[in-house]
Amino acid sequence: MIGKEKLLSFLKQGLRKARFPQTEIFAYAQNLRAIRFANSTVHQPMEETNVNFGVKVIRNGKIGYASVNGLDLERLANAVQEAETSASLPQALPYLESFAEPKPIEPVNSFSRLTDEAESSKLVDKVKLMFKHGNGTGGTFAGILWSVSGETGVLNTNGVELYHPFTAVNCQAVFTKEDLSGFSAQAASDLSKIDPEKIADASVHRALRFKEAHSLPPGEYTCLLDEYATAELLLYLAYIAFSAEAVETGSSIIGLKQGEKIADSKVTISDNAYNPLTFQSPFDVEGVPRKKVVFIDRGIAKSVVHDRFTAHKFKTESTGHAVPFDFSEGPLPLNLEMAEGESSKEELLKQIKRGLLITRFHYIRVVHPLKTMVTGMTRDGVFLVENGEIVSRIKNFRFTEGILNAFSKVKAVSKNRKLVTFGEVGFPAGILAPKVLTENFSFTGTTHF
Amino acid sequence: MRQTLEWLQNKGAEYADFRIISRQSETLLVKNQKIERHIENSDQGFGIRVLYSGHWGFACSYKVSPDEFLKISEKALKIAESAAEAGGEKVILAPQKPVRGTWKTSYKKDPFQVSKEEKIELLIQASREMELPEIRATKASMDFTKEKKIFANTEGSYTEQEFIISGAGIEAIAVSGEEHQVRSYPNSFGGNFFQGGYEFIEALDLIKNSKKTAEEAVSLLHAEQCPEGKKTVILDSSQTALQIHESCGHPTELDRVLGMELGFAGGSFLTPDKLGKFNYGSKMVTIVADATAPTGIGTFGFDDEGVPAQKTALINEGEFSNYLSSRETAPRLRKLLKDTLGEENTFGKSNGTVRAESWNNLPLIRMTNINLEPGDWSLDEMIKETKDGLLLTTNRSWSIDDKRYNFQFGTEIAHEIKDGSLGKLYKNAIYTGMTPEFWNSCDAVASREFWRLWGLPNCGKGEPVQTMFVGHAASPSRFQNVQIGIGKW
Repeated sequence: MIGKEKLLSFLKQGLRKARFPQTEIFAYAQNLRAIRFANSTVHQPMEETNVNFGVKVIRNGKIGYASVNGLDLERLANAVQEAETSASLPQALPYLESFAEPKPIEPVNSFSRLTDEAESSKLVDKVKLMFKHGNGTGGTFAGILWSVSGETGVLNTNGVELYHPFTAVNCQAVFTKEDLSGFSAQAASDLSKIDPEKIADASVHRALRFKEAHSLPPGEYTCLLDEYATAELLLYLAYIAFSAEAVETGSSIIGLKQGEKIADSKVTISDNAYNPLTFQSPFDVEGVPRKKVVFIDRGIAKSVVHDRFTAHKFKTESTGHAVPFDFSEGPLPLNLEMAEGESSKEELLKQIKRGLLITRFHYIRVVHPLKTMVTGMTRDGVFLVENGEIVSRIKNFRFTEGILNAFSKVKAVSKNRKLVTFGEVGFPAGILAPKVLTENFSFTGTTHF
Repeated sequence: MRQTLEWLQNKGAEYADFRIISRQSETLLVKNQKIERHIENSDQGFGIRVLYSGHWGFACSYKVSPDEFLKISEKALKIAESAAEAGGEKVILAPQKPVRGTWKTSYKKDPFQVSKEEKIELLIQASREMELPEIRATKASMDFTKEKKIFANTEGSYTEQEFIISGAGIEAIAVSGEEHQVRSYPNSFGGNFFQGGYEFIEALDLIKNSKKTAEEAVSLLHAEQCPEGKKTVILDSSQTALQIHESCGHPTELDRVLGMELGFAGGSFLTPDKLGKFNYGSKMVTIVADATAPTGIGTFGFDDEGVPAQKTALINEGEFSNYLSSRETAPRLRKLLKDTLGEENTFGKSNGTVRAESWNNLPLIRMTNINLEPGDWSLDEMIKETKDGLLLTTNRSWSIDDKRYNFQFGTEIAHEIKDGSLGKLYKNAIYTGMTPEFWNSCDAVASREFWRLWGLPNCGKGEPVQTMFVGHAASPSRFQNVQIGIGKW
């Protein structure tokens, strides 16, 4: 950890190098410990220390950007100069007159000292506990346990001066024995909340519950989506529909059908950076306090997230969802959640006469954004449910389905939710997802395992 | 570097390597004729990988200084010690003679010396040409990367390499009601990427191709939905390239085969028992991994284990013949094959495919330039000899299962082929299949005249995810009895 005083002091020194009155510097520092394992062996353990800075300059209403890494004032000064040159180009984009003004920030506590102090060896010890649960089964574990101690800071010439320390941890494991596999994961801000033995048990149980997998033909099935599977659909829905950038390029169904019913009334999806069950984060990279944004409210299309750039274009206010500007997709929700329902897992299963329990999906890609149509595979456990009982393991399917089509046929939602992370190791973004029972989910292909 | 490596040897490291990397990049994005992003990025740091008691430890830092070298070395060693205590199979590295040398990208025009105004003006003009009534948004982009990499290891290897990667592309998005169609040039998702200078951007002639790209996007809004059924398909060169990437490149990565990626990207159906006796494809299909291909973005002088760049046949006239390997995985493969091919089989040496995205990543097996060797057909001949089929052009979506059997691709545009002639346009074209069956149905590959080298700058692998520059050369190829038209539209 660099520390609040040192990081903000460095940002101030950088800001002093600015020649123009509107300059902003964002900092993202991290100490990452990642213990990757496969074949029940720690095979790719690593630690990374890095700090990145993003500089923005506005000159005569035009904006310039540059980014650099390292606590090196000369290099940061060069980045400030590059951003100034960029803002001085005749073709630079007319943007705003100024950056964000200081606003009160709601305090959050997402930093765990014990997690920050836990060395790689402590993480390896947790992974070792996991390996023990595979002994005698003939199978092995693969996955990762990572923890990050991070700091974000924003400083601008309007007086914004913000600092936020955080920790985040994620552990996920695939247990595999020949063609049978099972998956489980846990994410939290605090390493002590990660129980590797529970993860190991769950993934072994899911893999070895049945000795073989049977084939079923593609077609429409009632499906109980586990939290991981729900979260993956939410992730892609957010990507294609929940940002102002998607509205601008015409790919957002929220933009097209605002105020209309687009999903079942049991479906409410929002972004809430203050929920203590997620990775809390009080401000974005532009120093704007995060607002709670509801995308779908009881099935009705509502709104999307903005940064200051898209807010300017749409003549509205930023919702505090700016991401580092070298990410080209514009503002994004990083604390997605789907509202809980009322059912227990057992109650959800009981509602299934004949259907499938889906552990998670793999390699989802967008087929048609406005139809929210995606394709992908199932992975690490598909089970046939008959009359409320899990009766056998089924080989994997390919699905090609509209996400909102699936969310329009929701029969029930679980009351418990799980924090699921994807994508960047060490980046504290998560999705709080429930189990979802939906009907007529469209599987369009199968595979050999 | 030498002192650090000696220190590690004295501390009992069996092997260590050390990379110092500095990278400069520039991204320009013009959206709807306005410059939306122009970002200059500068990044540097170093990474040290240590093998201790048969287990790896890796640590890295942005502070490039002798004090930090020692601190990070200690950390890497400590991580390796912890990993060793967890037990499991020990790493044995394939032997490799020390190498010393330099390697540099050949280029005519350094893209970082071309004025920003000139680049932006080109993109704005291309964007302007795409403005049509039903075009909702246009994008035109350029990306440039310049990287300097110094590598040294405890075996005495020392290499210095400098790379320049240049890429550009345009995209037109047409929207009408709930219909959303995209056309791009020269390829989707950022265009095409080359190892070389600004001369490649000029040769793309983005402005000349802009209007046609936008017109096709608009035409797609009014095109018929792609029909469902089994047909002959001809994939254009860029879609063939992505088909190679997903269904040949990734499955031949030996770390995937050995289960080392099971926790994230998955495994591979291509088990070692298939080596030398598996019909991956028809006789038309010869695929090579070529890290020496001029202008390929998967080209280099030496990999990140000090192994010189090589050209290796992965599939030879349809028969699966080799993997992409590393110094860690090759000895494991040789051991697995000793019963069938003998103790001294030739698979124990790395074929030099290991790279890390940057200083802060562990090196992994990565595709180099995975190329489908050209055949002797012309595209016209292929079309003329097709009774009922589709010509599928430019990727729109891609997905494949975690053992790389079941794939499904969508393309931006499809043309009907009826009795040897191109017919009407179809939108939302999708095809699906199983990897070996699909490649065995390949009955025509176009000649070198149609062979193009495509650069994919965004191949993801590993955790933390590493994005790698990889290349694929391919010419249009024909496949029989392919399932098309999936999903409820």
